[in-house]
Amino acid sequence: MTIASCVRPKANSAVCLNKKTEPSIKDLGLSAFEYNEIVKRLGRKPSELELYLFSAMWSEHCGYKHSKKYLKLLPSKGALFRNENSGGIKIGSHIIFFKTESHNHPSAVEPYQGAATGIGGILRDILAMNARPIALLNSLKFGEIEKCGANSGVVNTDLDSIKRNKYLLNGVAEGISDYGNSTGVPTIGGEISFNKCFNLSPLVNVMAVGICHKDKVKTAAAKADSYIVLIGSATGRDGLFGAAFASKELAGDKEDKLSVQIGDPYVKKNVIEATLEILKSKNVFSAQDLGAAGLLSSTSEMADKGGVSVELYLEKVPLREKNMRPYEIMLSESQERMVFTANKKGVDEIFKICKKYELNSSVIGKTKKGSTYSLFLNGETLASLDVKVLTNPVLYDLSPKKPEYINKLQNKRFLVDDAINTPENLKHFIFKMAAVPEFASKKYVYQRYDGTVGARTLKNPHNLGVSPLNIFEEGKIIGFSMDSSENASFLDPYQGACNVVFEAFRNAVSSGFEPLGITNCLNFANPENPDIAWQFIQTVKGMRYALEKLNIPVVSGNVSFYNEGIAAEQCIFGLNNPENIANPGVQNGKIKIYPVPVIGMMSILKGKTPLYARLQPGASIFLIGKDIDKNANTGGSLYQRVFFDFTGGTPDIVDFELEMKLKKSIFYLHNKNLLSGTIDVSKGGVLGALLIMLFNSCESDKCQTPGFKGILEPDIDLLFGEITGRYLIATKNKAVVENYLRKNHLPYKILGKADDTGVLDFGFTRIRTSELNNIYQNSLERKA
Amino acid sequence: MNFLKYFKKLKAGIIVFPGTNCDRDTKIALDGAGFNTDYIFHNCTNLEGYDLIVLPGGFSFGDYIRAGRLAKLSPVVFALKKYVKSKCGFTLGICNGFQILCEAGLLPGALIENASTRFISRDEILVLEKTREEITIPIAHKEGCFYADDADLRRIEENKMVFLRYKDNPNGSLNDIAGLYDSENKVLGLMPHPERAVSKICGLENGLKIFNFIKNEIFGGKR
Repeated sequence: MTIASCVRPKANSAVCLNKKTEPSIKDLGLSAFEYNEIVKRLGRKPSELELYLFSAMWSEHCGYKHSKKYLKLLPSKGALFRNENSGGIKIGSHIIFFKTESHNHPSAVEPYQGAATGIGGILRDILAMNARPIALLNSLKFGEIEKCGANSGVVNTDLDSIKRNKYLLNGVAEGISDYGNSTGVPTIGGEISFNKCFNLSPLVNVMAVGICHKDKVKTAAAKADSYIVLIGSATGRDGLFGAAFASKELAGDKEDKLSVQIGDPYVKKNVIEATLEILKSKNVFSAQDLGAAGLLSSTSEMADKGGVSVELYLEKVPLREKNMRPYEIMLSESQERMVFTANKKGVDEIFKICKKYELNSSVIGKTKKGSTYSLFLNGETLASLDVKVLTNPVLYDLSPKKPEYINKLQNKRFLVDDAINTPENLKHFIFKMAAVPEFASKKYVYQRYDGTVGARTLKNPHNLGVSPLNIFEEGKIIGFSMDSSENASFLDPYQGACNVVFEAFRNAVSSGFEPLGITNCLNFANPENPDIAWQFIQTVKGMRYALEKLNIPVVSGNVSFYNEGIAAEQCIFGLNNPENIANPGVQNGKIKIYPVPVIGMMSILKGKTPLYARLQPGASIFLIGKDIDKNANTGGSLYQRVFFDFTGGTPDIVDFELEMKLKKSIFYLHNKNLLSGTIDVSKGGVLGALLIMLFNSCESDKCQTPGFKGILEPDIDLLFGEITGRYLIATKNKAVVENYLRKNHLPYKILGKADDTGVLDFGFTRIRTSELNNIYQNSLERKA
Repeated sequence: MNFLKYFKKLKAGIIVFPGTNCDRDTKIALDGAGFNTDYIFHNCTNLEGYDLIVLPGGFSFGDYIRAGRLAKLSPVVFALKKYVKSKCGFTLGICNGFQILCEAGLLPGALIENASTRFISRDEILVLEKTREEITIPIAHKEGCFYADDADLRRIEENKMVFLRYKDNPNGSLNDIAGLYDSENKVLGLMPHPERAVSKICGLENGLKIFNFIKNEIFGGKR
């Protein structure tokens, strides 16, 4: 885990931007305890500039001071370069690097630039390893864009919030589209969901994938007696205090906007090409990207990892604004910059390559033997610190307490009565499910992302549970997915995190892929709150359990804390509905996000071809794995929240033995060419999975609208309820498959048969496929 | 001269502007189609000796002002104009390359923002004008709506300059035009990306048909 997510000075920290008054420790987000610790370790009082440096390096974003102790619990066996800018997994003689990063706070204030620079940041992390970025994915969470639970008469999100949430969705999508597409890296997949807990704090988590030959990887560790070269954009005041800004709750001041970085994808594309050309040289030793806390964190990490002293000459840094003060130069988060260490020959090579790509380049410092981090301006010493003191902040133990809401909500039961289960009602709910933004097709957003540049993507990637990439260098197909489930995580953070890992696992298995490892992005509210601390620790433990069971590592990751907004101030968010205060996610007038562990999983294709989630006429459809009965735990199911505004119960518990048996069977049947389509059962339950298979078939097969005939039990929980450990498989060899399942003692149920009638006949109701598909495909565009 | 080319690999040059991002994909595709391929950086002023010049997709100079507007002022585009005028070889522009060819006046018309105003990335069914054959190739663009005035459009249709049309027009292009020749049949602009459809493993191979067709064009249809 490296620099990534969050610091936390108080809301008015930006005040010291233009005033020359000495900042107070509190303004800089350091506690009195931390200040005393700095004095103790230095053996003297820090200067004003040094205090600024500590405020950034000891922030949550750079220092992981509330999470580091707990992240160590996660397994790492099999991960390579885990402590570098990005970790990776070996495939043949290449290493596939992948990492997630959050850009939640900037996106809440300025969605277009926030999302764009989030991509810029994660691409630089991959690039710094000398890996060419080959794919992007994203996990996006917004507040509701339509009123939920209209049936129950409860209105949760007011119109102003809905309007704002739509603005955020469109801004983020456009930012990713404009920036990602221009850099020439395809955006191949991801997820989007909507929940009122994100009304004030949307989440934008982005993941990048890169490839590098195993012998050509470069790390951040600097060598002594080399030159430090800065390339790319000139340094300005944009994104100043970005790391600090990301570590506080949003107050909605205008000053928040000043802390958002501005991206330039054209310069980024040139930085990518220049960096990869520069790192080919053996005269260039190490690379670092400039992200959170800019020049400071990048150069101090180089010193720390290489065990050397660093001297920086600030007058050598190309600036784009006048009268910038030293701390502004050091903390600026201006985008599209990289630093390298090189020998004299390497410096000349860097200058030549930068000239070709029309980029600035400048020698800004030197490395020496020792362990001192010093800053100079025109020969005058501005700061001189022990690197270890600077880069090793105080680490905290969290003080967790099980929140009161947990038992209260877990004891609630969603009661299904006969009045709900009438055929007319259920037909209405099927139409409603197809239209729910969370379930409906996301093509309104993903068609804006260039998914094919790089020519590594497979045909119809959206009909797979994972997004595939052709690693032609090794003759392998690898897959990626991003998953999360905030509802399950809210009701039971341990089980929620465990389920998310297995959800990603099932996505891979259903496509014929074997999981290899994960990256994670852990999004939480304020960890100093005991409730949130408990959510965080439970999440890490649940994730550890699942990963150890599956024997796969965490290769990289990111933590984003302080995702909460102040409901009472209502400033720019237009949140003025008292109903929100009744939400269990609200405490002391603050809306906290649910705990959201996002998993980015890498997997590899086992057989010759992937397994698509599609149906062909004549195929029989089996439900294999668990079935829902009266005692099943369907807590956290999408239908309960979006149809009835109900949040309660407990999420289902993963049955590891069953999951393994299901995987083995699917791989066996696929290997024998007995499967014509497979999907894991998740959002929207059995009916949801069946609909997605049917609609995927419509998309690829315009001439023939598929139909389905079967008997489904008319019960809303059985149709839409979500539990773990089950898949739908389609086969044209019904008898052979049934025989295999029976012999291997796998629970199964035959749901029915696909046909070419264009009609869905569930027994209790009949619907035209095209009518429902039309709603499914176009709902998000209509609602956004 | 043509006789010699039967024994020699054809030489293709891929022009790389700052911001071009389909150069590597295009090289893999051209190498696969049997060309001997070089990259040509945008400050190059001489294109002699190439049988085929390709302007690949991307965002040349960040597409600032508008797509292709800055690239057309680049030294290599002046060299390209000479190359086309002296009939040295065949020129292919893909996506951003098509936009640059229109901006530079080497192809008629212009490519304006999609009717939806949004970027569109998807597999598209296209119809080859000559053979009426349907092929599926990915598209990925924000400014792909082909526009020409009435006179130009009439000239395009009368001289049979259309190479490729959309089956289900995604971007509002006039006459469903997705690919276009110049009046000499020596310059070709394509909005779809054939270089992204040359892999059997990926399930898309139709792009190869386009590159093989171009090889034939270079031999003057004699092979």
